[in-house]
Amino acid sequence: MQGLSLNARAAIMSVLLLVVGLTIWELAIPAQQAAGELTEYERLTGGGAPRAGVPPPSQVIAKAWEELSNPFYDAGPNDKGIGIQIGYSISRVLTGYALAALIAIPLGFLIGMSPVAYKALNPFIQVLRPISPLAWMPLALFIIQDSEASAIFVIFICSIWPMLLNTAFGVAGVRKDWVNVARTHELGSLRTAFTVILPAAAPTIVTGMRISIGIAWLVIVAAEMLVGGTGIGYYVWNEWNNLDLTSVIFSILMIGVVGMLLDAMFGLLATRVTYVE
Amino acid sequence: MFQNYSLLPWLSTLKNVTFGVAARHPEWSRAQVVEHSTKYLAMVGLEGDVIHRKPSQLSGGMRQRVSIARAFANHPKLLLLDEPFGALDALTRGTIQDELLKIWGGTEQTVFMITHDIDEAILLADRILLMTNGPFARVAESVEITIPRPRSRTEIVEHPNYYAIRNHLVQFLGRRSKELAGQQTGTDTNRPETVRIDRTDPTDDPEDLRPALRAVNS
Repeated sequence: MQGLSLNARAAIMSVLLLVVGLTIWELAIPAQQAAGELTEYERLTGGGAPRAGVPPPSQVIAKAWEELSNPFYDAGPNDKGIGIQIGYSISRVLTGYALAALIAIPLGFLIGMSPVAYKALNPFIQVLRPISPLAWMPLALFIIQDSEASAIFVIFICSIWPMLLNTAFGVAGVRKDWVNVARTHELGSLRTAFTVILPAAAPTIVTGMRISIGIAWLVIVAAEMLVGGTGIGYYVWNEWNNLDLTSVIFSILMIGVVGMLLDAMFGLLATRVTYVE
Repeated sequence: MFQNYSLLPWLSTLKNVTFGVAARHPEWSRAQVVEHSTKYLAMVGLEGDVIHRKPSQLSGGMRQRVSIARAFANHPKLLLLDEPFGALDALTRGTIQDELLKIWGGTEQTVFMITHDIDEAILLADRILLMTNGPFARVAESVEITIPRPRSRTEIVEHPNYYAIRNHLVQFLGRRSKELAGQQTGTDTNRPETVRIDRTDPTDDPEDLRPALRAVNS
């Protein structure tokens, strides 16, 4: 054990924890009753549908294997593969997120450059920021009159604030020395913005983007539960209505995995723009 | 050029120099800019692998060299150095002063440098402008350095003018800068007095008590 690297030891421990956790879960679920002891009523209802209960991990794994081996099938509006559902969710998240970035980053830049704008806009931002994105949903549905666009709007409104604030904060905090370097080299203001201020503020901006994508992924599930039709959030809710808890647990895990991947993408971007002073 | 180097930490050493050069000569090709920048980095002794490192991977002395190369590579009409070696240790400062003299010798750029190190001033300068204390701080004297170039730190101390000039500067900073402080104007035009100290000049009268001081243009 001592001879192994830190990473190897941590990996062994992770696997161990997983196995222990799954075993406890598996053992905690009482076994389904044998078919021989059916009551009269159950025989009449066709052998008795198994009572709904939290499924053991073995069932979840079997379900995951089944779903992931054919993730993109499409058998009508209520039966689509998990890949298709996740695809819908990701495309909504990315659309709303991209629109938010398109507005938040340039606007944050301007706010960060001007202390007056920062102070003037701050009260509005502080009031709008803590509003739960789902609270916008009725208003969005009424004004936009389209559930798909409303979901995207909700993503937009929830991901704009961290990006806006972090961009403004990052730009306002750029060291004056670096701006002076640009001035002594007689760089124009646009060039200064792109070659000095943007890279200097980039780590803070990317942190804001990373927070935003995390929030957007949290919110899309809830938004899709409300809006319905397609997406991973709808899938969870639909399986709950079907009382298929195996699918519910499986989709919960998938939401976690996709969220982790999205975050890892921005983590990678963050390491690219970080610099050591 | 500033006291704390002011290099952009996300750019490599070379890019820190090309950044300014490209801004100054937008018509140059990329290869031209890189060639010009590498030349100036080589003048301060930064060559090969080092120029692709980030400033955070360089020592303080090396960073200041990059800063010098960046400043000179731009060919400004006047180069203003604000206490550039203040943060360096004495040994590194010595080498970098030599680098500065070398690169200056190659370009003949006008350099205006602010320092409070008297020996550094005598080693580097053609002319030292002395300032009075505040309030109404002003340039009171312009002292010519009558030591021929090329100068080296070990040889100039042997030169007969060295200590004469040095003593004059120390006296000024120690006493007269205070005496002159608060006087709003020195002369009508507020021009600094030009002081020329030359012990090797045969026209100087060796018997005079202050032979080295000869006010010209007062």
